[in-house]
Order: sequence, then C-alpha cells, then structure tokens
Amino acid sequence: MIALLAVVALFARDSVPYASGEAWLCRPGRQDACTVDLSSTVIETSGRLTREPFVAASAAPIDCFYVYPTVSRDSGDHSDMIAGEEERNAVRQQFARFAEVCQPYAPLYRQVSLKGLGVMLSPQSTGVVLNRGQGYDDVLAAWRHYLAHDNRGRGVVLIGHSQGAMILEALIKQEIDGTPVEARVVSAMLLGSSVAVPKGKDVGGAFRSMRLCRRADQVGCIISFASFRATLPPSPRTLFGRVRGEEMEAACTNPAALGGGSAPLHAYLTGAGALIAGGPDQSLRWTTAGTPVTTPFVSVPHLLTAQCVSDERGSRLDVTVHADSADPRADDIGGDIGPGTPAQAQWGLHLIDVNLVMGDLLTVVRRQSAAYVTPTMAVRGPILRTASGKPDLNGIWQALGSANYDIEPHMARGAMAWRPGPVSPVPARDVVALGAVGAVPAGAGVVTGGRIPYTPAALARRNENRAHWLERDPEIKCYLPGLPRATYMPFPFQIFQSERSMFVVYEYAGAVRNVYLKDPGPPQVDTWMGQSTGAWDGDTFVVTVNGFNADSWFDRAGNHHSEAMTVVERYTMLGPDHIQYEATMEDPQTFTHPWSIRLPLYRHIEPDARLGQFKCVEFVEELLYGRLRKTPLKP
Amino acid sequence: MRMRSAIVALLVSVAWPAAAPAQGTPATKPWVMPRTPDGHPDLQGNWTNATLTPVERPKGLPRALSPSQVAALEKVRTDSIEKLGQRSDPNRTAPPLGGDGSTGAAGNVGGYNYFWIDAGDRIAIVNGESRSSLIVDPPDGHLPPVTAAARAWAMARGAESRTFGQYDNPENRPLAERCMMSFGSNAGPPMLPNYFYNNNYTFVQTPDHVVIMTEMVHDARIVRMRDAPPLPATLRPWMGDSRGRWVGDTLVVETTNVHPMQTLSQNIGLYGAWGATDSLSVTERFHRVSEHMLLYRFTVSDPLNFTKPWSGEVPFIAMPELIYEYACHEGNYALSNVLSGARAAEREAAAKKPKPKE
Repeated sequence: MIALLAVVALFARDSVPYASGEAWLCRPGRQDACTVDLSSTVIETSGRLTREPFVAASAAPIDCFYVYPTVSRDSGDHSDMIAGEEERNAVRQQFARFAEVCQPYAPLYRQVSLKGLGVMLSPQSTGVVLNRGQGYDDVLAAWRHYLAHDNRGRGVVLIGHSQGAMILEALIKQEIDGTPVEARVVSAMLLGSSVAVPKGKDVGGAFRSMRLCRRADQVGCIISFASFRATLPPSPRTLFGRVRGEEMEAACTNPAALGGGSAPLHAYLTGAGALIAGGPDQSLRWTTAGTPVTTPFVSVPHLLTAQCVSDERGSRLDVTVHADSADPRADDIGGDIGPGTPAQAQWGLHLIDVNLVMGDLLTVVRRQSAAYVTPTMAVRGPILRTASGKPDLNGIWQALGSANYDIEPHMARGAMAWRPGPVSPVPARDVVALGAVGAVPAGAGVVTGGRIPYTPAALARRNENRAHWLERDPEIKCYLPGLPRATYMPFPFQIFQSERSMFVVYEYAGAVRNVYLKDPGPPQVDTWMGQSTGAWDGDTFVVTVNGFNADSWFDRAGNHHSEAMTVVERYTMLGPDHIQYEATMEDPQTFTHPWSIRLPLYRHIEPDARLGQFKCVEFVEELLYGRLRKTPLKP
Repeated sequence: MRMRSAIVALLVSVAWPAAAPAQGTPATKPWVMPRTPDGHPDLQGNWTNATLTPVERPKGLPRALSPSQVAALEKVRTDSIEKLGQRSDPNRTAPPLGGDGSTGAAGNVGGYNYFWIDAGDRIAIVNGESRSSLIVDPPDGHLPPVTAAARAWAMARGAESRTFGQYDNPENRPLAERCMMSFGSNAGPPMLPNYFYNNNYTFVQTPDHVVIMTEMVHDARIVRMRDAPPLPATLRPWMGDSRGRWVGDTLVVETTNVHPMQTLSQNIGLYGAWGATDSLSVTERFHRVSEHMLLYRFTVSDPLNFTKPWSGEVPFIAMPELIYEYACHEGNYALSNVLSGARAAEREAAAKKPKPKE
C-alpha cells in the first residue's frame, strides 16, 4: 500500500519521470508486459491444430515505440500511471509480438480512459480530446526521454492504435516530420485511425514529408488503415475512414499488400477470448469438433483476405471471411463492437485492427529493418546523434599507437634518455632499471607529411629538449598535458556533450576543458589547456584553442611550441565507435607554416566503461620534493 | 575578476528570492525552470557557494539570524575586506627576519591581500531565512558527537603525526598545499565553501552524466545517472563514486567509496584529524529554486565516525563569469619553499648549537 501511494505521489506531478522504469510497460531486456506467452495455434482448414512458439529477437537492430489505444477502465476521464490488466492486455494483443523484429519500448501515459471516451462521444461532449493535453504531453515526454537516453541513433518503428495512433500522428507532426529525427523513423504505423492524404496521393495531408508505404522495403513511411467487414461497410456516422477537407481522404495502406490489391491476412487472433478493450470474444470454438485451444493466440491461414477500398462511405481495409461450412474450421471471427447494432457499422473491426494484420506487419518491419540498416550501417555502423540531430560525441575515447612517445615517424628505440656508452649510446642511469619497459615503441607518426616544419631555432630547441627529456618533459612532473597532447596520451578521456555544453575530462592529471559554444572573447590568461571555443561545421565539431602558455609539449620527444600557438581541432565521427581527430597547429614563432596531425579515436565499448582517476601529483612528490625532506632517502 | 564575481554574487543574493519582488517594484517575467531536452531541470553553468555563514553555528546564535545580526556580521566582514583591500605599499621593506609574529595565510612574512581572497561576504539565505550555520541537523547546528572508535582512531593518528615535524616531509603538509585537492571539502562531497577563495563550480549535464567541476583543483566529479554497478569496495577515488537520479525536479546524488585520505575540512574540529571511512555515504540534493540560486542539501552518514547522520543546506549562487584554469601543482613553488625554508631553519639552528667537543 505504501509502495502504491509512493507511485501515485511520484506521478501526481505535472511531468511524468520516464527515467523511472515504472513509467514504461515495456523496455528491452527486462521482464514486463512484453515478455508474456505469445504462442499461437495454427488452425488449418482441415481442422488440424499446430502449435507455433514465439521467439523474440535477441539483438534486433532497430527499436519499436508503441502507444496503446483507449483501454483504461480507471474511474476518471484520464487514466492514472499504474499499469492495469487492460494496458498489459493491449500490449499482449498489439505490441509484444514486435519483439520478434525490434527492441520494444512502450510508455504508460495518462490517456483518455474508456469513461473519458464515453463522455467525448456523448452528445454532451465537452473538452475531452484524444490527441492533445495530458496524454499527448506524457507521450511526448516519453518520446523525448527515449530519444535522449535510449535511441542512440538506432532506427525506430512508431506503432499506435486508435487513441495511440492519434497521439503519434500529432507527435510526428510536431517533432519528426521534416526534421532530422525523421531519418531515424523506419516507419510509422498509425492503425485504427484516419490519417489525411490528398486524394490519390501519398503525402501532403497530415504530413508534409513522410509518405505512405507502398513497398515493404520503403522506409520512413506511414502505414494506416481502419478495418471493416466487407459485408458491413462504414455507415454514414462512421468513426473511421473519413477526414475533413474536400481534397482529402483517409489513408489506407494494406499491410498484406502495400502495392495495392487483395491479399490473405496473417492474423494473430485471440484464442482464449480477451479483446483489447477486455470482455470475452464470442467465437471461441475454432473447430467444429471443439478441440480446445490452449495458446493465447490462433492463426487461421486462408480464412481472411483484405483490400483497401475507398468510396463515398470512406476509405477502409475491407476484410472478407472465406468461410467454408464444409470444413471443420470455424467460419467466422469475433471482434465486432455491438454485433447487430448500428455501432457495428460505426466501429467496424476496430477492436482487432492490429490482430488482423499482425503477421503482415511483422513481415513489413523485417523488410523495412533490413532496408534501413543495410545502406546506413556501411562498415562501421551509423553514427549516434543527440536529440537535436548533432553527432553524439558523448563517451569515453582513447587514441591507440605511440604518438605520445613521438608524433613524428620513428623506429623503436631503447630508451627515452641516453648517455654515451663504450660502443654506442646506452640508456641513461635514471632509466636503465626500467629495461624494455622504458623503451620506445615504433610509430608511423601522426603528422601529416611526416615532419613538423620547425624554424631552425625551434628545431635546435626540440633537439635540446630531447637530450634533456628527463628534466624537461612536463609529463614526468605530472603537469597538465596541453593540447593536442591530451588527446593521445595513453589514457582515456571522456566527452560530455549536451545542447548547451561541451566538456572534456582527461584521465591523465585530471585535466579538464570547458569548450565554450559561445566565443568568450580573447583569452584573459595563458593556461596549460588553453581556451577552447567550439562550433559545428556540418557533422564535424571544430574547436579553436588559443591562450596557451609555452610550457606544454607535444610528446616525449621534445616537440614544443610557443604561447603564440593556435590549435584548430576537428572531431568527425566515422561510425558509432570511432572519431577522426585532426588538429592543425599555427605558431609563427615556432613553425614555418601550419601543420596538422590526424589519428582515430576509439570508444571504450566495454559495459559500464568509466574514466579512471590519475591524479598524479601525489606520485611525483618524491621526484620533485624528495631532496627537501628533513631526512632525504639514501640514493 | 574575483572581486567582480563576489559583487555579482552579492547582488544576486540580495535580489533573491526573485519570485517575490518587493512591493512597488515593476513586475518582471515570472521565472520558468530551464529544462534539458529530456525534461529535467537544467542546472548547467557556473555556481559559487562562497558565504560568510560557517559550517557549524557559533555559540549563542539562533538558527535564523535577525536582520540586525546579519548586518553586524556582514559589516565585520566588509570592514575587514576594506582593510585587506588596501593597495599594497610598493615601497614597503622586507618583513622582519622570522616574520612579523602574526599567524595565518596573511601573517608572518605578509601573504595575500584581499585581491586574492574571495571568502564570501554574505550570510547564507535559505528559504528566506538568514542562517547562522550551514548544518541544520542536528538542530543545534553542530556536528553530532563522534564515536568512541573515531576518537581512539583520531588519537592514534594524532600521535603518529606528532612523530614528525610539520615541515619534515611533503606528506606532512595539508592536501591543498600539496595541490592534491582544494581546501577543506570544497570538491566534496559534501561540497562546502572553503572560506578562503575560488568557491566556484561548473555543472554540465548530459542524458547519462552530471559533471561537477570544482575550480580548485580542476577536480571533475562524474556522477553516473544510469543504473551502473557501484565500484568495488577496494576502489576509493578522490571524491568517491557518485550515482545520481532525478526525483521529480530534484537531482539526488549518492556517493560512497570516498578516498580514505580525503578529509571533511581543515577547519572543523576533530573531523579534520582523519579521513573518510569506508562507512561514509553522502546524499546530496540539488534543486534549482530560481534563475540565480541552486539549493544544495546534503546528509552525511558515517557510522564509524559519527554517532548519527548530519545534514546541511548551502545556497549555490549563479556566477555569470568564466572559470579559469587552476593549475596548482604546476606553479607550486610554495611547497618547495616551505620545505627548504624548514631545512634552512634547521641548518641555522644547528650552526648556533655549540659543537660537541672532540
């Protein structure tokens, strides 16, 4: 009870915290409303029953985002945020099976309840609407949460039925249609609702960019219909199949035949009776023998066909039942609202819109998924993007290779510090104990063109630095690394990117950089890490860094610069886990002309990867201050 | 720069609460909580927690200070700022050999004048109440009693540290002097003002993380917002392992595994004598109450050190200026000089001693 009150209190606020798992009916990788028994019994015309197990995909490359129809039996006009049997049943009937082809996401939302719907449809109808207000706001918040936290640049199929479809239509209009996010929509299934298109056209009504699906391998498109019995077409007071506007009609795309015409349906109907709005299905005898069906679902090959029809009564998916009274299989299906009443011709087969074509929708999504994933994934896969469509650089990155030893091409060498030997130079006394650990691995270098274009004086200084590496390299003293060296130190660094900030934390020495997205003006002081200002150039993040002091180096080989240096860095994602890093150095006091380095950065992909801490000041105290102890240690 | 930020902070704290403008002032646009794309309050930007209000309540003061008490306390500070803010005399002579006899950072041989200091010159105001201490629980504004074990441990540590002179080794100097952390518990958690300078923070928020960078010593605490396994008990980084979540519009951060050498404060009684135990956990709550203020509340639970948990409230005031690199270690001449000064003093003392006869 206390837990329940806590949940109520949690959701009594204005915005639903979709960071909480409780606000979702389904999320991938957990036991919830989507992980239920979906096995079915195939009932053939011969009366033979075959059990068909259900297997969810283990690593589907795309996601599905589902908004359920009006099912809530809560007492108010709007539902609460507690998942009831009715919400879970809607998921079981309409969505859970999509886990065969995608990773399922289904938010709870404060929808217009069945009571609210009744009020809305009554003559005294007041302000209750399905596609605005609380329900819409909740789904919008869930969608934004999903995009920001879960999507990671993957394709997503939007699936809604009835109220859910109307909310998704509004969401697509406001958030997706014609925006960068549209590129991530594999398709949108707005089922059991009426989506406007200009007569005879596929786009230009409800949406300005997203078209109706006409082929199964078409992506970014819309599937929409409302189903009626062919024997009972919509009445003049139909709730579906008509839209406002002389030039407009309601879209009808037949999932079993997107190109048009009639086709058999691959339905998953209820075996044991539950419909999306609850209440028993009347036709539970699936064979004349009355053989009990023990699975929650049945499919009935060849019993049903459907085709889109558009006439003065409206546009709808006409469903024909091919009964054969001679065979032992049942001759009709259930799912009508108010059989034999005027309501039947207003609602059609609304309650089973999705069940009727479930198998066909899965086939479509399978083809769409393949079409979506193949061209964009190339070799490395699609890059991740933020909610606003910018490449998402968030993550822990690290350079491989030996650039920190020497950014120029170099052979392996036995030490970083030397002294003359009897035959040839030998490792200096202070490093000889390190043996092979103190040696320098070979490297092809990262400098474009191979050599840094030093002025003669600066080159002499570099060579002198190299000869006095032990005394001079700031890395030895745990000084801040400067740039671009911080990027290719043998430590990871983490980029924190939001709409308003770009912040980098380096493991080495705990160095940090705040990359200003608004130019703060000339740097006020010279610093080790410089002053960084960044901006997007298409999909490349470009950072200009100046305000350096002259104390940082490029590597352990004495390569150096002056305080006049400006570095321009370019971060370009090559795939989800790779960044092409380029930096151009301009410093007329040190170099005869600007020069560049280029190297890939690799994402730490291990689960729960995190930046370590290398606060090395403590580690160099003996080196820097040991001689000043009251009793210095003996050599 | 720092003076200017102090003045901004001052104006801001006077103006707060923004939601209730004084009568007669023209109505301004009501403040709307800025939010990130995922709908959470946007806490990003620079903040300062500099204040005149001490962590523990001075004797004889109530929790809520009266306007006259606030005025008196702030006047003492402003007077001292004025005194310390005098231009240095460029013609002054060297301080007397052995120092002028005063103590503290500004004493002895003459340390910082106020140009370098930004200790906070306003009393902290929380929910309209002028506070005499940052600690609000225990209600007397004082740290709860320490445990007997902690007392014994502190004695042992004290005895051990007395086997050294305070300038014998770099390890005998405080963490801040060694440039390992800021003064006191500036980076936290809990993040307390250091009552000296640079009490500034940068907040960055992504869907998966909140980063809180403390100006000194560019210490970035990375708070993980996704479910993630806690660090094993053997890993105890500086500032610990912080995991956060949103509860409504409040960011709640839980921290454990704090580095055993990290101390709460050099200024607070016994606690200064030892570091975080492995029973330490800190819960922090960040709630943005206005454009200019973030209310920071924390609870410290450390059953090995304290007989009960204790809690505090600290206003963080928006700071519109940039934060510059605090490269401490790279310019740490002081630690060398402190140590070599001590060695020089020892040599002088030895020279004065009569040589033992052969």
